[in-house]
Amino acid sequence: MSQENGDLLRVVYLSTSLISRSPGAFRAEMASILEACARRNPRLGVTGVLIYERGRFVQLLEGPAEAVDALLDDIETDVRHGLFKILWRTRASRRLFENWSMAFMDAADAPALPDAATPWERASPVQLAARLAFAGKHLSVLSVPVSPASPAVNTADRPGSAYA
Amino acid sequence: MAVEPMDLHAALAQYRASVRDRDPLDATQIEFINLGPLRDRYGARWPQVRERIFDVCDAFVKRRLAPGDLAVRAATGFLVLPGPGRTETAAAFTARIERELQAFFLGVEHLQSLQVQARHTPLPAACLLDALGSSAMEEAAQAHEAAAAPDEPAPPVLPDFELYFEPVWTAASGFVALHAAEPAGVSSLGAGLMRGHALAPSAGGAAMRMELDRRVLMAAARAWREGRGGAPGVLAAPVHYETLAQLKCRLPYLASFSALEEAERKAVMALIRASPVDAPYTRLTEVCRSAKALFPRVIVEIDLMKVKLDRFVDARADVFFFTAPGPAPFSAPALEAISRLSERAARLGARTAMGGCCDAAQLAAALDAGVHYISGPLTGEPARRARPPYQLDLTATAPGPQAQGRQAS
Repeated sequence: MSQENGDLLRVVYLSTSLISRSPGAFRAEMASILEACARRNPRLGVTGVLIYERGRFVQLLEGPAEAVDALLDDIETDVRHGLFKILWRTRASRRLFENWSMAFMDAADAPALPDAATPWERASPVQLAARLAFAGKHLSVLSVPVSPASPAVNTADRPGSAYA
Repeated sequence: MAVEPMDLHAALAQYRASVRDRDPLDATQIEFINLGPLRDRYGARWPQVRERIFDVCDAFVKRRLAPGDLAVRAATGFLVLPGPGRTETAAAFTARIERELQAFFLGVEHLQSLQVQARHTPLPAACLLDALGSSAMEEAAQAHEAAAAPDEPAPPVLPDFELYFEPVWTAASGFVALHAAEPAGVSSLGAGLMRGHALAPSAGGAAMRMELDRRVLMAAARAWREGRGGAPGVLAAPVHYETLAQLKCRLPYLASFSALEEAERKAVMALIRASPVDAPYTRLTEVCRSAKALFPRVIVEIDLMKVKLDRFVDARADVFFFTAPGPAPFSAPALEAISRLSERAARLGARTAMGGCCDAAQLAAALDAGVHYISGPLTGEPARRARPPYQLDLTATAPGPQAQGRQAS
């Protein structure tokens, strides 16, 4: 995996959803996750995209290292996440995502993803970034701009522009 | 589009051009989204938070405008100019947006998060409802619940149910125009016929009750729609207190309103059940106002003998509903409680309703104490269909108030 020098930390993780399958649980937990992420991440200067795909979460987080690491600690111990695995961790000088967004990839009407046959675990960083950027751009159901007052925001790049 | 001042003249010119060929009446229909309740809620802090609130509202409104529509910021709201392609009336259009806006902002919990945690962040409050009500979320939720997981214990199941509609008689008019919906079905746990929130196994917690409430709301709206040809009056849909009290349940429940037609939203009231006697004032206010923002009327079920009505002083509930306190003649404390409730509810601008009314003596006592709505065996058993409004002469069979008073003493 390539390493960049920069002030930002970029991490992609994969986890299994442990949300109960009882009726209503998915909606309630997703509401909780979305509300918390939408409220918290932009304030911390953390951008990226959260994807839910057939029982799994994939999220790219990028922002100040301290904030990203704190979020990862929370997520790893969150009872809704299991089999937590970091797929990509790198320093970056520029953001791939200007917003934080959320996308579903198993919705029936979702367009086919580029390189969909490659499992997340075996995707290269470039494939990961491309796939996540595509989802953030085309499948997003929620997009939250990062706060202008948040730390270490570099909005020189447009969201997903490097790979979309 | 919602426009900034610098774009205002150009946007208005564009709008004028778009409606040039319309008749004068259509072309001048302008409606106002009133954010006055938010201003009132914030009080002295309104000048400090106004811009941020407007930014959130701006994004919210923008997402609901079609090409050709125009929304312009005003002192305490937005002027909405519907474009020529919009089929719903300007009043219906703006009322829908206004109600959805208030659903978010009038929740104390949400206001606090806006103030404390997102001081400089344009929170996408409106977008959350859109996301939770999206077809992608719907499909993912259905797939998640349906997915077989052999290594997991079987999740609790929400059984199929049918809605029954109990007639509610209005004392002032003598008509039955309101029916209270209640789900009934056979429990998967072999417990026989279950009603109301007992249908949701306790193992499923608040989320499962929320899901039941969502499905009941949808079913009630569907029943009203199917009976619309016969003018079915209005319906009350039960919703559990916890569904509205917990943010993670409230958001999906409110998001389900996006699937309802405007007419359906006006025809379905909320019947909030299972409010804890010791629930704090702030939570009761938040719960009732959340419901009030989307439902045209809010009925709150209470325990007649234990309710602390002072905690509802800012809740804006429309009706307080209680169950008849035993067979007639009512005890003196019960009669006093009904009278006290009616008096205090009136001071809050609310009415009272008594359920479980079995006979004419109970009816007379309730009417004497000022109760406005009556339901129970005396007004008719719950039925599979809600009838169109009809007159029901109950007072002819009820003994006079004085007779009831003698019985109670």
